[in-house]
Amino acid sequence: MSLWHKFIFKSKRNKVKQSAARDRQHQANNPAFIICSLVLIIFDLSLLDTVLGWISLLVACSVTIRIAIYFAYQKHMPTLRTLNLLALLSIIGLIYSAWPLGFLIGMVNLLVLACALKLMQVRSQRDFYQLVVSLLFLLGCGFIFQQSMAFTLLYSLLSLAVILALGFFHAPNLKVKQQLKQLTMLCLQALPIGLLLFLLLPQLPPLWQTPKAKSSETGLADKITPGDIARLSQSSELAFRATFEGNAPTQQNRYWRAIVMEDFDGRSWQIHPLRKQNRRFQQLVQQEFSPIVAGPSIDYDVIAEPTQQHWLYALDIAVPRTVKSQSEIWQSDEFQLISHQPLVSQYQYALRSYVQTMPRQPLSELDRKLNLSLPTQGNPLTQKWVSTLRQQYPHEQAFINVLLDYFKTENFSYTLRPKPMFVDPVDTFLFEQQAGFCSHYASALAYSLRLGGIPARIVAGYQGGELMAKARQQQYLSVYQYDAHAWVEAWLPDSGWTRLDPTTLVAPDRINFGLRQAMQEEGSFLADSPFALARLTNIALFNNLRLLLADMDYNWSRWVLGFDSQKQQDLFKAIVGKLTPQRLAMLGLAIVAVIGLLLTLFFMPHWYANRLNPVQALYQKALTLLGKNGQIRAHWQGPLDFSLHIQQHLPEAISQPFKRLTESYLQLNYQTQGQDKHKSVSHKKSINTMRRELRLLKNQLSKHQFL
Amino acid sequence: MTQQLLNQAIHHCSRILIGKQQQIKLAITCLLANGHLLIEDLPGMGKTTLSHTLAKVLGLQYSRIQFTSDLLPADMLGINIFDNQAQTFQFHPGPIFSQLVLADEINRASPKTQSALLEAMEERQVSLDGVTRTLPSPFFVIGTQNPAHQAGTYPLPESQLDRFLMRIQLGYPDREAEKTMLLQQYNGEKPQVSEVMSYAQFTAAQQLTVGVHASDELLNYIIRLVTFSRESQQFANPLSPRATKALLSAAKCWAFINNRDYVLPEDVQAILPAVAEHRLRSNSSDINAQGSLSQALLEAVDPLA
Amino acid sequence: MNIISQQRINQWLDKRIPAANAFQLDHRNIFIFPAKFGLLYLMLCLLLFLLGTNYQNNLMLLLCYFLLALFLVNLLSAYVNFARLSVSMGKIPEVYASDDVYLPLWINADKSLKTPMHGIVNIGFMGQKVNQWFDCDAFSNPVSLSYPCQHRGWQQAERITFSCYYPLGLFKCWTHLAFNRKILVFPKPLACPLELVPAPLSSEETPRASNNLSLNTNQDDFSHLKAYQIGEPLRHVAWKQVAKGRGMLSKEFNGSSHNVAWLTLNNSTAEHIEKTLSKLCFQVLELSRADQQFGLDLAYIRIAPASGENHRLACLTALAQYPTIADKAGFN
Repeated sequence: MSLWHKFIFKSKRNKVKQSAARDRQHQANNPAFIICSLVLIIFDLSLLDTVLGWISLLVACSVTIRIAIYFAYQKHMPTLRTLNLLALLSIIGLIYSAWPLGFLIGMVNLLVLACALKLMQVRSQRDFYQLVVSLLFLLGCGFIFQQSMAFTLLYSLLSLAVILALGFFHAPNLKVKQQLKQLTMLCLQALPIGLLLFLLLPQLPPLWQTPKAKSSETGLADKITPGDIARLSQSSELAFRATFEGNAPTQQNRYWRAIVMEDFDGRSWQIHPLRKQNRRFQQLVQQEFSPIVAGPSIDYDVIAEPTQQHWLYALDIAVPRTVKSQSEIWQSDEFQLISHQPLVSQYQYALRSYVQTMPRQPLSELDRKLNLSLPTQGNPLTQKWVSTLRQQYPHEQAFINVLLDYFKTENFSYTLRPKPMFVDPVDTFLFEQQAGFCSHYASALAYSLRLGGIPARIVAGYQGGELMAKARQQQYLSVYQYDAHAWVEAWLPDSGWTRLDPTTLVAPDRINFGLRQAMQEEGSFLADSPFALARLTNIALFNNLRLLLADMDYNWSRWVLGFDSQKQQDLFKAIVGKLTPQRLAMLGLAIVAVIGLLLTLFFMPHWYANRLNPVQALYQKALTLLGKNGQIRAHWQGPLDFSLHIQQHLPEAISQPFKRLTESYLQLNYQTQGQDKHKSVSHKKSINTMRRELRLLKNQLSKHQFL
Repeated sequence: MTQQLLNQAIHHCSRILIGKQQQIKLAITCLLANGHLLIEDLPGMGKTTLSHTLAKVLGLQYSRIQFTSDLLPADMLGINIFDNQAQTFQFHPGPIFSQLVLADEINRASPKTQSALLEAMEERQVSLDGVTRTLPSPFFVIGTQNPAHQAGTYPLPESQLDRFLMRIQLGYPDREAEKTMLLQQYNGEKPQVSEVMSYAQFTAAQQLTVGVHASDELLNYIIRLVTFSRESQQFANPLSPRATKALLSAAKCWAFINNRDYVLPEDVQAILPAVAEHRLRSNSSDINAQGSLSQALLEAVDPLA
Repeated sequence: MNIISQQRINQWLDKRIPAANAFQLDHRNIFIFPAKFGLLYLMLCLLLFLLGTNYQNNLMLLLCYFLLALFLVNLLSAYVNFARLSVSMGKIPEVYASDDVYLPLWINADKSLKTPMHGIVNIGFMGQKVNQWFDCDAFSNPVSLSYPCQHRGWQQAERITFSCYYPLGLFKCWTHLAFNRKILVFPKPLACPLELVPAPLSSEETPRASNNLSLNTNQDDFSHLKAYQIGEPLRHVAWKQVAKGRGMLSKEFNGSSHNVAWLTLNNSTAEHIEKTLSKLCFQVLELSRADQQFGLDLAYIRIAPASGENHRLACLTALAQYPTIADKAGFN
């Protein structure tokens, strides 16, 4: 006997692995590591322009090593010494190359680097946990850079994959299908709770100044050099969206102001340094400019795409509509709206535009000075031309009309592919080439006006946009980068600031129908991106697809990305009505209760499963009843035997119902075949029989006792 | 219909072997489950009569091997003899080539012969001089064994006891039965044994027993029983997976004989002593030394939980 | 101080989880607390929250809240999973001092679960470093836990700690189970020549050296052949008879099998008592293997001559239970 045991236990001894062995075993062929590797590399690929090249290379290396180890091409991991050396070198490299990139990108790079190194040397459980936490944090950071629906989906899947890796780590021998089932259940249970927390936990304002991300700035340039080649119009990327409370203004009136450029050096226009200085000073003393507003207004929300810059888009003259927007937006003298935070991610703000108040605005001394300043030299032809004209037409309005007429009568054409004009660009444009796009016209007109003594400046922004309107929905406007536009603003003593758009005169289609229409003949619309869906509007299917995607994206931006404290309060109001502290407290309690309820609901099945099924429960009840009457079943006695025993020991009135109950019990428990026996009709019938007989038994027993 | 025949067979047998209905039923169950039967008792208890009767009633071809210490495997299996006329070796099959073999006093044979028999039981075929010969189907061995403390016996090793699906003990008949027996003899009436079932009918019955339903609860009960035997300190030799299978198939057949197409815990309880007792005991020589282990096992496990 | 608190904990545990032979885990005996990784994970959530709030990034906040919710859900599912564990202690094999005893643990043996338990379960003795484990998705019963036995005599195994981190490692579920099974550790066998005394010694009689029998002497006189019994030494088999086809017969010798011999505790030699017991243990094992009849006289107990498994166990038990010096001092 002892020999036998020795044999058995000797073989068992080998089976009980020591912890060191476990870590080794975990390492070699646990899918968890492969999943982590894949997550890391996919994440890296999704942020290829943010993550430094050599770090991506390192990621690829470590993933290769991990895969080689997994498939046992390679037995040994890199030694700790090698890794430490590598880590040291990498840190130095990172400090050198990522320092100028700013905190955020530096951090992401550091994390990717750390993950790559950790992946190479995961040895212990702790290493793995660190890897998982870093990966999850990285994925979270990924949302700063990528917020589109597709990327959100990707990152969510990657997060789930990391959770799957955790699952594999803790149950390495569970079948993949089972594993997936278990974790899917877990995630599905967590999802509503997470959503509830998201919807109902207060949305806080930023806790501190976020470090600026120095990624490439996109969108409008803050300097216009008309002689350069057109760049903006060639991109079909979304610039921003606007949702209107009422009707959207017509196509012709959709001039979205973004940047006001007042400094002209003969070639390019840019924001005047004095303005910048002035603004900084105003911000320092907290003296915000407020325009004089009155008259009809339009309410709308704008969701701006990230540009990494500060300026926002608005119709003239806009003021922030909500408290939140007010606190986050700075109004500057030239009616520009400026965000305190750079737009690192999508940003939503609420505005009210007073469309008719522009002429009422006064012209300050500074304005006049800036808007009349001229470059000292260059463009002699224009100077001569204007001075002649100005002598002929001393009245401002007449002078302007003549200038505009010049654009109308001469053979000017609108093109997205003008020839470069390097020397005296205004002269070349006005008298030689006579072909260009908005900024050429705006620049020439503004310069001419200044030469003629009229304060004028260039406003860069967007014009037009695609109106998406659905039956039950608010109208919203999608404005793309190719809608970028530049126009002129001149100050006239009797009508104040007046918008002048010379482009309308040359290419009325550009304003009335948008760039796409205007460029139909030339074929230069989005010539650089032949596969852009926006080019394929002629094909109905593609156009519908494009519109559908745009619509989905809009809703995504508006309701998910744009969910803020304002929307949250609206939601609260919708739930509890007026927002009193008591009601909010009640709401808080209700949330806790709902979460508790959800958790209970999820785990009810488990608790229920641990209990007996109804068949067993009914039979047990009958046994208890009989037990109280002195007929206790020996715990090893079978149900049939016990029924016979009862028939021998108790009067028929009692034993008969019990006999029938037992018969049903036996039938349900031992006779019925098939997996889904719980659903069949006869099953329910038998259970009902059991219930009935149990009642009968109870009655008979109580009667018996009384007798 | 088939059950009727089987019950008739049981009834028939019990006319011969009076007062032993339970054992006869068990024996038929064992054969129905396609297992071999070991009958263990003192001489003169009717072991031989039972097997003889069974063979006759079930219409099986029957042969008997009396095991003695000088019996050689060849005596049992058969032998190749050179045929002078045909100039070839001619195989003369031994008594084992029949459907029901009574291996009488199996513990008297030498271990070599014993193992030859047990091998044939397991494989249902015989290898002789490199030629493998299939034994007839069905093939049953009813071994009889005298309990130990009998001089000159070779008790079957534990590992081989497992090959017998059931082991039953006949025991002394009760007063009434014995009296009836005496009266019968005195009156000179000898009950005639006749074939109740044909061999084909019996095979058909065997096929039917496979379809008897064993529910999940019941399987769990069997598992609990088996596990308990492995866990508990009480049993030196736990039940093997082979025993688990034996329990289920025997219980199915028992249920079938009792006219049910599903198995109840009571069926398992009825067959468990016969199926498990000889497997649980560490040493077959001291039958009466300990109390019934299988009974202890039954009483430890609740069929309902 | 530490010892006192340890005692308190033990007392509390004894009350809360009394010793038993089999356990089904439930709310009474499961402890659950965030694991170290769980705390790290919460830190991650906090970081995501801060970053998400600062960048006003709803997706990050969503991720944060989802992870937080997962943490909550994990609490319950870890508990539910762990509560599926049932453990019972099986047959403890014989063990000799300074050997390891392997405690066989039967995991979820007699249960039929619709949803089986998953994940790796670590097992170890309470208060010691956990160094053994089994995977609920791939293991075979029984799982054995080894435990070094230093001294002979009765021993109570420590509480066994089971812990599990399934499904995500965020929570540690554990329990300390006490099994009411005492382990009798036999003395360590120490090889020595056999010292059999033919008759029980009367109290004052000194053993006569000339009458000492050893296993070797009983090979001298061949007596007769008898049927071979399984377990007899093969060198006793009469191979000639086997060759003649008369089956396995073994040679029986005139010797101690008929002359009842005794093993006695020889106090006269100044050896340490434990060493003597060890030697006796060896002799008991040897004699049992040879299937010889012998008796054991240990002053405090006398076991009549016999042979066989039960006798062997009785002798070993007596040796194991021989009072230690400390016990004796107590008696006096």
